[in-house]
Amino acid sequence: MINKIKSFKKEILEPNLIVLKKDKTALICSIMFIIFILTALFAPLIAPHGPREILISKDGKILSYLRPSFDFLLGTTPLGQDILSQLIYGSRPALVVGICAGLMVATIGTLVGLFSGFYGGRLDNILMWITDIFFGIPFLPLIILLAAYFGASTWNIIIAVGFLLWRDAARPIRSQVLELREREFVQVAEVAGASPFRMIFVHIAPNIFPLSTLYASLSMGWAILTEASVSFLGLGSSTTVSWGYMLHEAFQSQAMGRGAFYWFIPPGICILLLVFSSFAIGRSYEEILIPTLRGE
Amino acid sequence: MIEKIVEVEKLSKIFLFTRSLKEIILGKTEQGVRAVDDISFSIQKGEDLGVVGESGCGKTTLGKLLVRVYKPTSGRIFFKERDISKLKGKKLKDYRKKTQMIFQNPYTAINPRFTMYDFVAEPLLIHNIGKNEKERKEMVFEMLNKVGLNPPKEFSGKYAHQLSGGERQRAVVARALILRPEFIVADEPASMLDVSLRAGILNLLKQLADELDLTVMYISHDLSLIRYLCNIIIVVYLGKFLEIGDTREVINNPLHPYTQALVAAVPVPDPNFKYQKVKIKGAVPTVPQEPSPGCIFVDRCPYVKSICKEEPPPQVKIDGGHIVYCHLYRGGREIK
Amino acid sequence: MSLLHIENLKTYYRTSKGLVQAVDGVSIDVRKGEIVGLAGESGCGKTTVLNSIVRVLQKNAEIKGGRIFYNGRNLLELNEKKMQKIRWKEISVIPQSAMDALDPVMRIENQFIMVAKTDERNKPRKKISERAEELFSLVGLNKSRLKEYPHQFSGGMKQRAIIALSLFFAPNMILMDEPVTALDVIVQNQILNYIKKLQHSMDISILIVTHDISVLAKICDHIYIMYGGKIMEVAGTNELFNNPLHPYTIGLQKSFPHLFGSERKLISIPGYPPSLLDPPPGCRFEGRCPFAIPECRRENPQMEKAKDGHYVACYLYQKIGKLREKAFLGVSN
Repeated sequence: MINKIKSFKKEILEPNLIVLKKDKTALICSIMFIIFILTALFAPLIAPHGPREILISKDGKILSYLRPSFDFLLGTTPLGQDILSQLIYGSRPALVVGICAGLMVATIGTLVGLFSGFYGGRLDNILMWITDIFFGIPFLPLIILLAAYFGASTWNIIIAVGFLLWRDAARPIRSQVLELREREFVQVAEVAGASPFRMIFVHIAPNIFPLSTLYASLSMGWAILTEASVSFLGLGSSTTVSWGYMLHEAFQSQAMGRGAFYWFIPPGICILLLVFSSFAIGRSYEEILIPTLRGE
Repeated sequence: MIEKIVEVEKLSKIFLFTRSLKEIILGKTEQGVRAVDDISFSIQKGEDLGVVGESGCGKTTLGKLLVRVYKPTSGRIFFKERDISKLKGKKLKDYRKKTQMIFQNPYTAINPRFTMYDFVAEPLLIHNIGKNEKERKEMVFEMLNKVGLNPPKEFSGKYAHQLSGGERQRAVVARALILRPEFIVADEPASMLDVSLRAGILNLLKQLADELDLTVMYISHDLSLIRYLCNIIIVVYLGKFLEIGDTREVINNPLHPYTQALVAAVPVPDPNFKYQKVKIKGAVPTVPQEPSPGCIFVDRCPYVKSICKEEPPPQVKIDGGHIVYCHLYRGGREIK
Repeated sequence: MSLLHIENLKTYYRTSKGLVQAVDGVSIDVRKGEIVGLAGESGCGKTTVLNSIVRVLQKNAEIKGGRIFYNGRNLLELNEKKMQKIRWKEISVIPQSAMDALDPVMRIENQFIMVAKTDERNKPRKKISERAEELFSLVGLNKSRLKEYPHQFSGGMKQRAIIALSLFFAPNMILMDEPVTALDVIVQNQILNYIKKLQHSMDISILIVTHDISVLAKICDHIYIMYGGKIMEVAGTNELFNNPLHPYTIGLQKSFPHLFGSERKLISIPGYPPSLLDPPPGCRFEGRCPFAIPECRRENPQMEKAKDGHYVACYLYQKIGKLREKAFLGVSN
């Protein structure tokens, strides 16, 4: 048991810490990411009001169109909702979409890559053929189509993104698997009588883990961006307040014309920061990945 | 009673080249490397057999065929009179309990994420041996002890990168023997180790083979090592057997021109040694040859005759179990 | 008169963990027309010795001391420009796996031209080709092969091509690092015969580094035994094999099986080589030596003359003769 903890520390924590120490950007982005997660988790405690709460003044007037003030740091919407609270709650759909889609992409892509690479032959041909078909599908148009057809909801977006983006992960993972399969310790397992299941999941998969994580973080960035885009186009969920939704509302009520920069700039920045930090974390995984890929 | 533990009948393994689309359309026959070419022989229980040859001769492929890492292209392999050539699934898994392999490179044979305990215990888990964790732990510790990784408690928690090459190889041996197999293929078991450590592993193997009543097939390019370890020797060239016999006999009295060249070429740690002249030229061909009707050694043989190019060499049994595949010995005598 | 005289060479590597004392006071002598062997196992520093002679070292390596005399001049005092006149022209090096270092997209003939360019005096292409043909025939390769690419050569042929390349400027000395280790035994035999032929026909000196003492027994005049960054013993080949005095030499001999020899048990030397990061103050071999006495742990024995031409670094060498037969026999695992 102690050995398992020690090995966790050595294999997962330490390489990460080393990379974070060297790469300042990765460090800052990791901290940013953690801040976003904490914001999402503790939103009800942090946000001064509910995201859809219509604020009414003491004398019964709707507090709409307010510019930033001490009471409402980012002002209010035409409907009288607190923009800051919306911003804070907006981190939730972003992260939910990002993390779920990322996991989905990583899972499907890894499984396809593992089975394709390990078994080879006909299965490999079929799976890669399917992957190639998916590559031919244009991303955003399909998302929009699906959103329009199946109705707008956060889950639809997650599924759509996961359903498409795994294709990016499958081929590189398959390549890795092809190489690992020939490593002697896999043959050693085969001679001992290991089942293909064992060879795949006990011997090969753990070495694929860094690559899967890389694609998970990249997909996370894409998913967040996609959700924002779709919501901005008005095809997203109208019940959930996401940053994209905020931009949509801002656009609809011509916030730019009014100079209500406090409404459309903060969500834009948040999207930028969150997506950037996902990509940056993914990039720093590449740094850890390269020595692992080399078998060190 | 002398028991044949392994018997091989007309065994071949061909590694095919992938054909280009043009070749498939034109209907060209698939070509490949004949790594093992129509081999037949048997191994007696308790024997220490040495398979010797230069690189690319097919000896490793033969070893991997016997432990079913590869499937034969044609021919059959019998283990204790049962045909194991086409086994699948559970029956193949059961076969694996009886035959094991010791791999050449201790630096790549161990999963870097496994502790020595995990590594040696894995076969037990795969075959569901041992009623509980405690029993398995005892078996693993016993094995670690046997291979000299003492104290077992200390070594069982270590990872491969924490051990030296010699220690890793001992772990490889421990894992191979934990299921108490009957037949072991040792593929260059010491070639990746420093010279001063080689004897350690080899002596260990010899001792354990005795103790556990194992039959061992050693594969090596090092004739001197094979002579030290084995009582029977087989000389392989391009997938074919050229000579078989008692080790001392074959080395002191090599019959096949290739064996004679091999024996003459081996350097000896004695500066005053009088070497015989190596009479063959050239090197092992690197490009796969077209299958020819005659002997595969015609290109390099100093005694080649016209019959050698037309007919495959006969199997000639010289007295004492010494067998040579060569036209020079038709009728049991040397004709030069 | 020695052609190459290495005196007390010290080459260390700076690593994140500290200073690795890879070569720690090594002295070697190579006379004109001699083949000298440097034997040792992996990590003993022998490759670093070769690299130090021609000063082709890794960035983190530093020659901390000693002198390397070539034809009377100390090479360590020469600047890089002068060293360039030495490399290939006076002393050639064939590093380990040199045959894999041949440029795969360049015809062999062009690789000769590359070598020729290291000399400032421009040789006309025709002369270079002529020289290449001459060298190829010396190593038994058909001159038509000059137009081929490395992948068309077998391992043995590549090694011969490398030897031909190293002879381009007719150097006085060639340094070879494991020249035959990767080759099959019959090809190995051919190459060793060629090396011996070179020695006779061109009166060239050769320093061969390898772990295989059987190979050294076949072609060397003198052999140095290296361990843990230091020289343990040096003697003429015959003398070394008939009368080894250092326990490591004895252990090494007993680890090599003799194809025709008597049926004695092969031994292995227990323990591991010492860490060169923090080497012990005493003899480097002390931890594995069956004869070690307390003195061995305290202070490193100096090289002493046992006989003419036979030097050994061991406090007990005089008694070894009697103990030799029993050496290492108790420990076989």
